[in-house]
Amino acid sequence: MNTSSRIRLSEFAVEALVRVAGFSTIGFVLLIFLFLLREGIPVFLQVPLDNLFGTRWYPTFDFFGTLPLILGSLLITFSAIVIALPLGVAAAVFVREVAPNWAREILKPMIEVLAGIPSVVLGFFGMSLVAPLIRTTLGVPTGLTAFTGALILAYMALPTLISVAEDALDSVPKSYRDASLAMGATQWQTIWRVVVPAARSGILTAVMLGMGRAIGETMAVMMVTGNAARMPTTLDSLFRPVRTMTATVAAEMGEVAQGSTHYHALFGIGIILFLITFLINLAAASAIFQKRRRGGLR
Amino acid sequence: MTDRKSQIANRELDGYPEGERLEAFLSRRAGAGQIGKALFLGATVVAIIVLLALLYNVVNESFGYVAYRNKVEPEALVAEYYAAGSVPAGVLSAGEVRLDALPPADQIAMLKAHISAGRLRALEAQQPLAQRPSAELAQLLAAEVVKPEIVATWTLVESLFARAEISAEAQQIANARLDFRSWVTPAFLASPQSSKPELAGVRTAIFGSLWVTLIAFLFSVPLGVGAAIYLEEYAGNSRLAQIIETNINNLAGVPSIIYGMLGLAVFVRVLEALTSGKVFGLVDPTTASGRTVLSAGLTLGLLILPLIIINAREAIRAVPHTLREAGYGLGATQWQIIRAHVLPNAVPGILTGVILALSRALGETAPLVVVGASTFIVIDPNGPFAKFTTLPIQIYQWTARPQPEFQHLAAAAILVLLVLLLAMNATAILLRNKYVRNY
Repeated sequence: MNTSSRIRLSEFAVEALVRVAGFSTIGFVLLIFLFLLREGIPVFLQVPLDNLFGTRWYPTFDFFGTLPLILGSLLITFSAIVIALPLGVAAAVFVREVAPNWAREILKPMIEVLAGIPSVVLGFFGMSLVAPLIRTTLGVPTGLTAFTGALILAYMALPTLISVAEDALDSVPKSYRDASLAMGATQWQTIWRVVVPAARSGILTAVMLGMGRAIGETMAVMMVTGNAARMPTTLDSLFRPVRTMTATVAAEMGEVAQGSTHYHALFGIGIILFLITFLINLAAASAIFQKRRRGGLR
Repeated sequence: MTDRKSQIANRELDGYPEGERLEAFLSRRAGAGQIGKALFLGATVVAIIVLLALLYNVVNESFGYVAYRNKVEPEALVAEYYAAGSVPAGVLSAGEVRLDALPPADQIAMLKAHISAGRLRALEAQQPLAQRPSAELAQLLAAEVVKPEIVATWTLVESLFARAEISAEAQQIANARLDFRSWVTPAFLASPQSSKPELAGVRTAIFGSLWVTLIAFLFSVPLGVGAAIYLEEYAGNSRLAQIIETNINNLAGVPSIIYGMLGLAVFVRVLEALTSGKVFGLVDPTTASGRTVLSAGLTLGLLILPLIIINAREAIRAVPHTLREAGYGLGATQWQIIRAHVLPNAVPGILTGVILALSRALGETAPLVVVGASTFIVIDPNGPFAKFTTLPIQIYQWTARPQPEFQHLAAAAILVLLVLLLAMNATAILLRNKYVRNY
């Protein structure tokens, strides 16, 4: 074999290899989807829909009502975002627009460290410090409430929110700031009336990504929310124990018999969770496209 | 909308005041700016305070006074064996009994006098006592004869500021001794899991974490870097490339627990023959199922794959086009250029991404709970087909126990985990700052 055909062969082999690597990602998404469906679909056939979307989750008595779990997840996620959004945007503005250079050099790695804190650590923090604090200050019977979970989740979503929102602020052209300052606006007016509105779609993306992170979180939520599968429909539900989809799967998957209705029901919860996060991610992606189409304007 | 805007514009243009009123207007405007800045700073400070509270919480639980009761007091042990005045030098130092200062022959004699014959045979079978070093014999004496049992614990803050109350409380407990201890000790790192909090350690968990992370690394790095090369260098802007990109973004957004469910359904159940090592003829009766290091590692490998691809793509994209064009100009093939120019320039960036992804894998718990980590193992995992537990799972299991001693152990294990993660993150950040070049 001469040199040129040997080179051609190795080119071909390498290209084939990396192509397989690239295509494998499609394979993995399909794999996740197929196996979720394969293990989860039976529950939709075995259990009548009014039971499946009922209000009681007692798998040992054949009650597979997923509604309290779904509402539990949504309650915690939305409360967490309501807490984290103002904090995250304000912190992003501080890091990007206000802070002096030396502070930025310290704060940015700190945000990354924050993002790297494992969820069990935050769960421990929630259990041993936040929950007792909530119990004593609010006078509720247990500190393991939806609100505790929302606080911990807000803190977990914060680094995602800050860094994506900061990128959005970063992509606002400098000419906008210059123009506003040249018109005599103060720095505060420039930030509040020009820069933040211009970065609006990016901030929306940040919210979506933070939400995706929060709804899929398991360990911290399981450790601090008390895990009682009750419908969070009353006003004080925020200060009562609640149970999420993720915590249910993590807590019960170890004990179910493979192939039982309960096992399929847990995979059914997986399908619902997957669909919700898929929609959230889709929304985040479309917010990004919106920004691109309009060139960073509002 | 436009109406409101023009209103605002009119108010600000027409109503621009003069003289003193201008001064007042300006100072009001500056005041609003100051308040705004204070709010921004406040948000950042809140985030930092919570971080400090978290660290305070962990450190507070990791150190502090413990009251413990010995089954056999070390003084009694020494007094029983030596006549007064003939105690070897160094054993009684500063009011404490140092068992490791005893001569090995005497240590063995003490062990033989206090341990049951059956237990002694088991110990001799592990390694004959005569061959063990003096320090290990001292540990054995402490664990098998002195048998300290913790009866009460206090946190660091209590220990520092309420010393008097603590010693008063400790005196109420019969035969209790008060000691200030750090829950993170060399023995904590070196001992396996145990149901007794005073003897429990994290060695098996650390080895488990290392094995699982290693498997995840071996699986995801070649695949991830390969996929990144394909997407950046070969795929172009085709429809297929866009589909793959969407897929990767989707994978990155999938909750970690779903990966756990996939791992359970695919690696533990469908591929059981492979992940339990049956196809390689390794049938270990204790790990008959697929809940092994391999299943866990592959699950975490899938989990970090999108992170690695996204970071590697960014690193490859940052290599300037002129480098590639210069290569083509000299007649090099595409792979030659990638291998000799693109990859070497992208390696620091790729490595940073890999380290960050691995630190994510190291801290991940939920998917491994679903895949089926062992709740209690005392033997180090010795290969891909062994049962496993990891550091975060060990922490979770300790926090689930009601006894306060285990909360201290959990805090100590968290300290170990955080130090590991911080070291990895710091390496990644330094690597990036040092080597990532701006062309």
